[in-house]
Amino acid sequence: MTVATTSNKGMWRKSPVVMMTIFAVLATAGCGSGNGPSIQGGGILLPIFDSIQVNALTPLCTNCHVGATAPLGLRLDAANSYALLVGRASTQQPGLLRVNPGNPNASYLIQKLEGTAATGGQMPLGAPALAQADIDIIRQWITNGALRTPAPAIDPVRVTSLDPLPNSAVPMLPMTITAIFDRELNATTVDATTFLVERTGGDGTFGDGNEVSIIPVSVTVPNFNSQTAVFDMSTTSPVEDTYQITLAGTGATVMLDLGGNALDGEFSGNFPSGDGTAGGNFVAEFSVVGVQPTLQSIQDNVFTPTCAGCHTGPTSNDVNDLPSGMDLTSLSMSFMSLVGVTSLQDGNFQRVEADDPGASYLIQKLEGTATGGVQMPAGGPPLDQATIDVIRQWIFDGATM
Amino acid sequence: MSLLRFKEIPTRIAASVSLLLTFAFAIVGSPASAEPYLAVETGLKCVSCHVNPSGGGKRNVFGMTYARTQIAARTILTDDDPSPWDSEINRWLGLGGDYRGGFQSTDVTGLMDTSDWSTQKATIQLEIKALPGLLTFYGDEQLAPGNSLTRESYILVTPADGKYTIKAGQFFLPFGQRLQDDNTFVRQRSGVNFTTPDEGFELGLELPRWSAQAAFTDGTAGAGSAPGKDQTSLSASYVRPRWRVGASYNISDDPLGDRTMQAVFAGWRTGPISWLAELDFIQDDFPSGGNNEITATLIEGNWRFRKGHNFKFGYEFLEPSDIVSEDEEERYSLVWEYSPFQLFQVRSGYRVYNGVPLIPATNRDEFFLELHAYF
Repeated sequence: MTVATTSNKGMWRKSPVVMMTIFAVLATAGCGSGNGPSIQGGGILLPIFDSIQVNALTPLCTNCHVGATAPLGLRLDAANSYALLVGRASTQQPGLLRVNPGNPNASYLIQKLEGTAATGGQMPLGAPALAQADIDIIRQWITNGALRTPAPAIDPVRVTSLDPLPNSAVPMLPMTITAIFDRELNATTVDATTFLVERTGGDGTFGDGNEVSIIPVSVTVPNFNSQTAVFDMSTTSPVEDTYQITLAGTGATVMLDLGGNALDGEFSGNFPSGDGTAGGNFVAEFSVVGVQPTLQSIQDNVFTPTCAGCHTGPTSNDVNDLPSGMDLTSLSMSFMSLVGVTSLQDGNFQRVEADDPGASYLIQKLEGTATGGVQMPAGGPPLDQATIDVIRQWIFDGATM
Repeated sequence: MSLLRFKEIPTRIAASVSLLLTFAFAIVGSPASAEPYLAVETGLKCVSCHVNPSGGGKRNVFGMTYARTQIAARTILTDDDPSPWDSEINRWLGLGGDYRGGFQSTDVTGLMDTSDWSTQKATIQLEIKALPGLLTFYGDEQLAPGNSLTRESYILVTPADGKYTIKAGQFFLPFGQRLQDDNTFVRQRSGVNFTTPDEGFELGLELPRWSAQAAFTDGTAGAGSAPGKDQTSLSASYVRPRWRVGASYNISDDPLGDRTMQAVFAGWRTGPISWLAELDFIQDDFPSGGNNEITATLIEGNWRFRKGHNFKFGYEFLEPSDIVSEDEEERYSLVWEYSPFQLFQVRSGYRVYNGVPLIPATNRDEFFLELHAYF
């Protein structure tokens, strides 16, 4: 949305009401009214308490209703909400139960969500109201008896979404991979043996023996959302490659839900996964494209194709020997020529000063702010800023080899 | 490409550094007022304009006079009664009230687009000065939306010309800055705001440069007493004409898990702009062991560029859980407040929430046009 501005001071001075009106009109441009489907908390809302907790109460209500200072003492976090909702009298309207099993119309929770409660504002306070379709699902849960745990599911658990998206191309390696399922998982079955990530090894193909397994920092099911499995690879060195995610539904160890149902993993490109029968691995791929903040990637994508034509070496300490006196032809020579080496053109700077891209002469040369010589690459178009930013990132990360 | 994306600077450190930097440029804010920027702008304490020493609620005669003569673009006086309303019926009885309502449009990224007109809050405040300057009965009742709801109800004793204050009953707790907007991260996540009164008593100290309160309450945020629950909230601020600084500490004992909160806050002026800043650290203990830490920050500028007009701009950052990575949220606010005449204000603003992609509600744009009337 664009909010226009004006320099017409006279208009401000003479007609603030007009200006206020214009501001309102501009700010609402593109805003309509509606009540679209679905839950703002993300995920799939089902008439099951755990689903309501994960998709509504936790993301929408615990902004306020959490901790010992929760309004009216009503905590709506996963550990406390059921006990404080179901069968408990409302503080504002003691004649009503917050959740009256079997009777949604007489449940204060519903009245607060629908804005019909006799006291106080509609919930969530200060945030958009839930769509009626979502409230109807909560109504259905209450109508069904407001059970804490529904009858055990007998159908297999399925994957409902993945981040990053399957078959997507991302500019940088994500720190985590998150898979979301249609119900809570048995966290003990989610680990590095059932949640696997590997990359092709550079040849773009899997199954030919040169794949590189990604060792996770951790594989967890977060307490706050036990329908989610998170593969933490925040310490993995980013490499431009195709990555494959495998969630185990077949084999000696498989992912299970709390009811002991195995993953129905087969994935054809559309969520949810599965073919209706328990078993089958979930397999999806994504690609990391473009130069990465590692010296190897910078060497392959920048130094070798762009710089090594002039900066051929051998290394020299004489400024008159530039450009050949700097050697950017290989990983090791680039490292030795750059990192911690004082610039010959400007002795106030190192070519690459680890952790400090702003003080690195290499960055100044690439961005055209150096005091000596011309912007690099000499005679060619400058590198795009995104690429320079990656080099900055490599330096910021310590400029390791 | 964000450097933070790769270099995981701990949120608490980043938030601390950002606030310390703001301290380095100037210094700190009011303990409590519905619009604490006005206190910063004038160099006054909350008690200067409000009946409640910790701010908010009914305005006193000075507060009404200031609002009429300094905030409104012009004062309207009727021919038959040239003395304007100043919230005092007589020396024993004061009456005040607020109405806020209007239009709000919300666009939740990728999901829904809603808009409606509604009354957000209508309140009325009654002040009975049984012994003027010493003993006051005070009540603040919410009339809408819905049925009547008691916000505050207490007796206030102010011996030694108000140097000491003793408050007993139901009241809003002293913690951080008493911002009008309950949805700021610092007020929402601390749970200390204008929707969560508590019952107990509060001791206060008002010195020329200091304002301090200590409240001892039920800890149920308005739900009455409960076994094993209690809350202590301490707040103090040092007030100078151009700047102020304060700190708050709150501990809630609860069988379901204790909560500890700390806040530092500040206000200062740079040229025509009055700034507010606050940094809150909140720790929720789990009965089974372990805890979750929440960090919430706010920085807000207010520029009264012309009489009757205020331009408010703010940035907030929230780390809702130190257990979960990449769940940070941000909130940007741009608000124009226009008071064409006394007792009336039109507010229009635009807010942007940036949050967790998987939770659409944390990614939304809001526009509002609010009518605010008070007396």
